Amino acid sequence: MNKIFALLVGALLFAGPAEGAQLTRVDSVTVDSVWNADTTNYSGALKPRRNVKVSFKPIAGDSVYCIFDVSLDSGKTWIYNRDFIEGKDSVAAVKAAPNKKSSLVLRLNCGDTARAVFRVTARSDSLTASQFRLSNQIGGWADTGKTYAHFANSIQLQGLIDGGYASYSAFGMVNGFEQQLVDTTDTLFNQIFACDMGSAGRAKAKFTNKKSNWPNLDTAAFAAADTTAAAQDILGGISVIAHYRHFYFEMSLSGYQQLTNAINDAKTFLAYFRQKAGL
Amino acid sequence: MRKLGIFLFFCFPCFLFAQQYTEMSGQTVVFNLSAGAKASWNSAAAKVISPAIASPLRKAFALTSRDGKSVTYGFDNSNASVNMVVYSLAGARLKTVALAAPFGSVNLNLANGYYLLRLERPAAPVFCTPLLITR
Repeated sequence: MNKIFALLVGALLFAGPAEGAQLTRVDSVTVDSVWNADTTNYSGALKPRRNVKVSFKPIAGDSVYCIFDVSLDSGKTWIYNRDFIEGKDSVAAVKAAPNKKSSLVLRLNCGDTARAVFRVTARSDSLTASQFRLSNQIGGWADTGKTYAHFANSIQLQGLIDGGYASYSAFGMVNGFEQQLVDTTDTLFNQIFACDMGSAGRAKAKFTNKKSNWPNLDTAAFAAADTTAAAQDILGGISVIAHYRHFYFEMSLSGYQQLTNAINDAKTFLAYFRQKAGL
Repeated sequence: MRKLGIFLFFCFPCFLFAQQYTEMSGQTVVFNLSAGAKASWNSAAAKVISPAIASPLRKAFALTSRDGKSVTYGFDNSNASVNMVVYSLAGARLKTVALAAPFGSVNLNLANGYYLLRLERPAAPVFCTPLLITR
C-alpha cells in the first residue's frame, strides 16, 4: 500500500495538475494567402480591403471555439473590432474540429500594412450564449415566450438598438440573445441581454467600458462582493451588467417598489448565470 | 488505506480545479500584409491568454521555489482572507500562515520531505497540492 501511495504522490508531483491549459492549444497558425478585396463606396472612392486566409490546428480533446485577432504593431496590441476584421458571412468565431487543420477567410478593412500578426485563440469550453436562455429556472419568474430574439452577430443588433450595435462590434461580439421575463404576480419585469464576446478579455473590456459610461453607478450594490457585476438605479428598479468568462450580460429589472428587492432579485439571476458559466 | 484516503481527501480538489476555463492562443510571425503575402507559424508565441476573471479564489496556485525554502503563491481575489496551511502526510496540521497579499512567497522552514499544502479561506479549501522539499 505504501508503494501505491508513493506512486500516486510521485505521479502527481511529476505530472502536475492536468489543467485545461495543457489540454487545449492552437498550433500551426499560418497565413496561406492574401488578396485584394477593394470596393468602392457610394461616393465612388476606393475603399481598400484585404482578404486573408488563416489556417490553424486546434489541439484539443473535443471541438473547440476559436476566435481571431489581428495586430498591426507586431503583436503589441490586438484588434478585434468587427468593423475592422470579420469572417465570411459575419462569422467571428468558428467551432473547429480537434487535431485537424482548419481555415477561415478573414476580411480586413485596410490596405497593405506592415508588421501584421494574426492570432487564433481557442477556449476550453463549448458554452454558447443561447444556453443561458431562461425558462423557469429562477423561481417565481417565467419567460414571456414572445420576445426572445437571437442575434447571430453584432450587425443584427441594429434591429434592437440601432446604432448601439457598434459598441458591441467594437468589443468583438460573437452572438447573443435578448429575452423578457415576468414574475408570477405579473408586476415585475426583467429584460435580459446575454452575449458571447468570444473571450473573457473582450467580455471584461465591454463590461468595463459600459461601467465607465454609467452616470449613476451604484457601486455598493455589487462591487463589495462581486467585482464582475455592477448596477445603477433606474425608475422602479435596477440595471445590471456583469461578465462571466466570455459572456457579457445586461439586465433591467423594473416594477419594484423597493430597490433592495430589485437588487436581491438581480443577485439571484447573476448567481444562476455565474453557476451556469461554471464559476 | 488510511494514507490513500488522506491523499484523496486533500488532493481531489486539484482535479476539480483542473477543469478551469482557459483560453490558449497561437499566432503567425510578423509579416507585411499585401496581396500574395504568406506568413508562417510563430511556434514560440503560443501562450495562455489570461482571462482575468475575478471570481472568489477559483484561481489559485502554490509552487515550491527552486531553493526549496520558500513557496510562491497567488490567488485572484485581493479582498479575500486566505491562509496557507501545511499538513504532514499523516494529516497533522503543521503550519498556518495568513497570506497578506494575493501574490507573494512564504518561507515555511520545513525539513526535507513530503507535505500537503493547502490554500484555504475560512472553512473553504480552495487549492491543494503535494509539496516536496529537497535541499
